[in-house]
Order: sequence, then structure tokens, then C-alpha cells
Amino acid sequence: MANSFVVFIKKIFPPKEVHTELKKYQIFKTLNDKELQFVYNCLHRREFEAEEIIFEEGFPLEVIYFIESGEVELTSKKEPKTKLILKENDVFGLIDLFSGQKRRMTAKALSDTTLLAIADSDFEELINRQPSLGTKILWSCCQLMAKTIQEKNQVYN
Amino acid sequence: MNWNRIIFILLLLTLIVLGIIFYSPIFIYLIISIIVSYIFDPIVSWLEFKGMARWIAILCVYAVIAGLIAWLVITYIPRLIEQGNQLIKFISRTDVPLDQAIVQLPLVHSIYEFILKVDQTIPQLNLLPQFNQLIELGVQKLGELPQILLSNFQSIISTVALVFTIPFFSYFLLKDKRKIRQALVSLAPNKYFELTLILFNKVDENIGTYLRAILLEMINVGILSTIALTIVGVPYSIVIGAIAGLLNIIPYLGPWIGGFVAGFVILVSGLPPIMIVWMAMAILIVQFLDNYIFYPLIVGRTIRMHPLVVLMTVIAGSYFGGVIWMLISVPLVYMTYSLIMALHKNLKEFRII
Repeated sequence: MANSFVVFIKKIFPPKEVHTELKKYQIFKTLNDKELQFVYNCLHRREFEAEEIIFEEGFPLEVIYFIESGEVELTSKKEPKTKLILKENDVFGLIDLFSGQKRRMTAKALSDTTLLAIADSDFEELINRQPSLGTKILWSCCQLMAKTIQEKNQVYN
Repeated sequence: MNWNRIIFILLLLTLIVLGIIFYSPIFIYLIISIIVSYIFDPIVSWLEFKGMARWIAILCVYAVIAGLIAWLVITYIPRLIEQGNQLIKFISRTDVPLDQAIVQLPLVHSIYEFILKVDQTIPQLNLLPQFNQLIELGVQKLGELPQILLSNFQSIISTVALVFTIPFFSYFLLKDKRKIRQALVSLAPNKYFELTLILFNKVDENIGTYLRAILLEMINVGILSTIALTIVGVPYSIVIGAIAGLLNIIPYLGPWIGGFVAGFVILVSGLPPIMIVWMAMAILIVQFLDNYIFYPLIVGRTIRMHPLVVLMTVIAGSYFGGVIWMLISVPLVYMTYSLIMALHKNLKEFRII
């Protein structure tokens, strides 16, 4: 009896969708289900065709992109040698967010690409409003950047 | 551009136009609901971030507001009605014809006697009939006031219906705020995605801040004016305070109009004219407190519009659609202005223009 009641209740109020798929991104790895829901509420899903420009160098920075599927190429006119190719589960725009409000590189989709975008104002609001969530995200950001620095120039800082 | 595409777009446009016609009666409800949802959004979001489900947070806010309204109805409204009734009773009293009642008021009476004296000394002038005509005109307008209230009975009823619809609308607007926003942004093509997001945030922030500031200002000035006028001893202080609060939406001009209303009431109710000076001082003190202490505290930054622009906007608004447009034209123009500024800046930065 009690059991069927529970089943009935679950039917009326289906359990909330848990967005564990977001955990594949480094900076959301440590978040719990509820915090992931907060993040998910702010995300915009965008689809780009192959060869489509996502943003250009010098544009104001408004969103950070997470690659859900596909490939993105980052190039810079100022430094023609640097050319980055990012794949699934990578994030771009994060360093620009902390270093200045301008894009340093041009991003182009190499294949058909699905991106998740979060506005920097929403990102900041998430961090400010929920300190525990914010600490986790910022800690992961630091880890990500430390990793990048180590990979790029092998300096010990 | 092939024909299929053109036909599809034409069909879509027709559908949109038809939709606008179909839904046009509820636009005003929707706008008011949006305003309500903007006002409550910060509290609901705050509760949400504290770990409460959004719909429970909204219901909690609603419960508190309902309690507050009930409390206001119990304590504040009877006095408001009483004061309003006194005003109407004065206008529609039957024992003495109204023009005589007005002439009997001390101030008007002294003017009347003065004119009588002038007429006696200079017989050719004949000022008195003109003065009487003026009073008659005023009486006529005053006498129409209850009539206006009665003939607009239907719109009053529909206003009551509106009051009961709006909480439902704003409940869903509040609950699905993020989803609505995601859906709207997803309509933008990739090229304009970030631009749309910036404009969205800008408008969102501006409208939100402005509406909340206006509301807090109205309540603040209303309460302060009521207190100040009660201390001075002006009759119908609650009504005048409420009017002054409402008029405060119009920057620069609003407080003046509120002052004139108070002055008019003092004259009509036959108090000594020196009271106007005290009332003016009270209103000045309220404005001072508001402008230099409460407004910076509540809003943080003031919205700067040149007085000339405000004046022009208010007058144009009154020509366009009466009192309501006088009240909303200034915020509307301000929002349009800030939107255009943001649009121009970002269109340039994204190298679209």
C-alpha cells in the first residue's frame, strides 16, 4: 500500500532531470546535482556549421563556450604562429574573462559543432550568489589554468 | 531567395499579425505581470540561491505580500475611504448649493469681498459676475467628479478582475524566467547571439532597477509625505500622501504637482492660507530627505535626465494619452535612450555597423 503510494507520488512529481553530462567539463567536475542545475539554467545551446565564425578577434567578451561536440579552431592575427584546435569537453574564453574584456583570438568551427554558452554576467552571479558553488568553480578554474601553464611553457610559478 | 521561402515568410508574418490581434486585449495584463515579476525577481532569486525551489519561493513571497495587503486593507483603507468620502461629501452636499458653499470658504470669501469692494469703488469694472462665472465653472467640474467615478463603473470592475489575473501570469513568468529567456535568445542567429545576450542583460538590468527603484520611491515618498502632512495638520493627508508618492514617478515635476494638490486641498477645506507655507516646507523636507538620503540609499545611482527633456517628455506624454502616459513616458524614454546607447556601442564593437 505504502509502496504503491510512493510510486503514485513519483508518477505525479517525476524526479528532476539531473544534468550529470555537465560534469565532463573540468570546471564543473566537483559540483553536486543541485549546483549543476543552477549552472544548467544559465546555459544556452548554440549550433554552428562547419567553417562558421564563432567570434572574431577584438570582439567584446560576453560568453564562455563549452564544446559539447565538434571541433573549434582558434587563430590570432597578431601572432600568426599560435593556432589552437580544441575538441569536445574543452572550454574557451575563460582566460579572456579573467585577463580582459576583449577576445584575443578568432574562433572558427572546423566541423559541425554544438557549443554551450554561459554569459559572463550569469557566471559571475553564480559565483557571487552561492559561495560554495563559486569556490568549487574557481578552484577548478585555477587547476585548469595551472595545467595549461605547465603544458605551455614548462615554467614553475 | 526562392518563392517557397517568400511564401513561408509571408505566411509567418500573417500569423504573427493575427496573433497580435488575437492577444491584444491581454497585452496590458501581460505588461503589468511583467512589471510585477521584475519587482519580485530579486527576492525569489535570492531565496532560490539559498536552496529553496523556485516555485516554493514564489509562493512564499506571494503569501507575505497577501498578508501585507490584508494588513493594509484592515488598517489603512478605512481611513483612506473616510477621507475620500469627506472630500466627496463636501463636493456633493445638498443643504447649501455648492457655489455658495465655496463662496463661504474663508479665503474665497475674502477674495469675494475684496472684489465686491473694488466693484463698488469702480462701478464700470464689473468684476463680480466674472468671478461668479469662474466659481460656477469650477463647481461644474467638481460636480462631475462623482459622475465620472460612476460612469467608469465597468472599467473599475475589469480592474478588479485584472488584479486577480495578474498573480497567475506573474507566477509563471517568475518560475520560468530562465526558460523564457533561453527560448528568446535561441531565436537569435549565431552572428548576433552575443549581441542579443548583451542587449537582453542590459534591458533586463535597466528595467529591473528602474521599476524597483520607482516602486520603492513611491512607497517611500508616499509614507514620508503622509507623515509630514499629518504633522503639519493638513486634512486628507493620507490621500495627498498617496498622490504625492504616485506623482513622484515624474522626476522634477512630480513633487510640484503633489504640492499643488495639497495647496488646493488646504484652500478648499478653508484652513488659514499660512498652512500652505507649512505644507510647502514639509514637502520640501520630504523631497530633501528623499533626494539626498533615501534615493541614493535605495537606487545607488541616480538616473540623469535634463529637466528640459523631462518637461518636454511629460507634456508630449499628456498630449499622447493623458495622465497614464504622463506617468509612464519618462521611464519609457529613459529606457529607450539607454537601449539605443547600448545598441550603438555594441553594434560598433561587434563591427556590424
